Amino acid sequence: MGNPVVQFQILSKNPDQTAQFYSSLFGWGVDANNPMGYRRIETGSPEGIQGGIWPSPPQAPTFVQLFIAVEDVTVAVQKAEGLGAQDDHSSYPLA
Amino acid sequence: MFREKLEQEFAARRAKNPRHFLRAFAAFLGTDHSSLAQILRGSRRAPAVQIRAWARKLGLTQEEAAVYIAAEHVPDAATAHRQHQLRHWTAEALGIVSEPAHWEIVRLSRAAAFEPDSRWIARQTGLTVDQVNVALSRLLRLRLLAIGADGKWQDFATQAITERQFRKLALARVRQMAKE
Repeated sequence: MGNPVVQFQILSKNPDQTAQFYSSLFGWGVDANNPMGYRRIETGSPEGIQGGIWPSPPQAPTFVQLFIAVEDVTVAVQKAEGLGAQDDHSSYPLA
Repeated sequence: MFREKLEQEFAARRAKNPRHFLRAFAAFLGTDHSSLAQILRGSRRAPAVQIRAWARKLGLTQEEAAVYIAAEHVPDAATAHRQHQLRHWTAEALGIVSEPAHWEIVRLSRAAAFEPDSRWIARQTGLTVDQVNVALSRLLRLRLLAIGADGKWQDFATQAITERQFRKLALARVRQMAKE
């Protein structure tokens, strides 16, 4: 199946401003009408991937995460650790 | 780093004159050879005032010397990593201590009428959805809560009955994870 990048996520201390910024800049649609209040980004194009915006804690910097599909998260994490990566203990299933 | 610059300079002098020893290089710089040897070995750093003086003798500009001085103050990768870890775990602990949202989420998740919905939690607590989600993310990171693939929330802090007990448990988890 390969391991495609399936989603991007912008972590922002000001999620509303970030959503407003990218909507104005690229015309992206942002919809937060879901149980998590997750700001889903629709880029409006069938090309590329879609994304989302999630609030980051006040002390954290703004950054972007990439989500890569794997067959087994535990196996992928172990392999990454074997290659020198560190597990930040944040892996959990996406509902 | 300035140590590498000194090494290059010393090697260049040795290439021109194999009889140019460390003692002579130290005398040229105006220091003793023991101190210079320690700096070249990396067992001590050259202070800024020394870098400025030695840079002048090596024909470097003030601007170049300033770059070397700044570089000496940039923490190495291991120190930077330790500082980053310290900042991260301190922020996690501070979040637990200062933001009651964590306990509110755990407490509500135990209620019969609980809805696994950040908007519902926000309405119950008077917090914004973003405040709920920041706290929820921390609970997930600290493995005090989990959300299953079926969307069900699982409480891993069941032994904490009061807010005080919860904070104690959460801080213990921060300490444990910081050590891992």
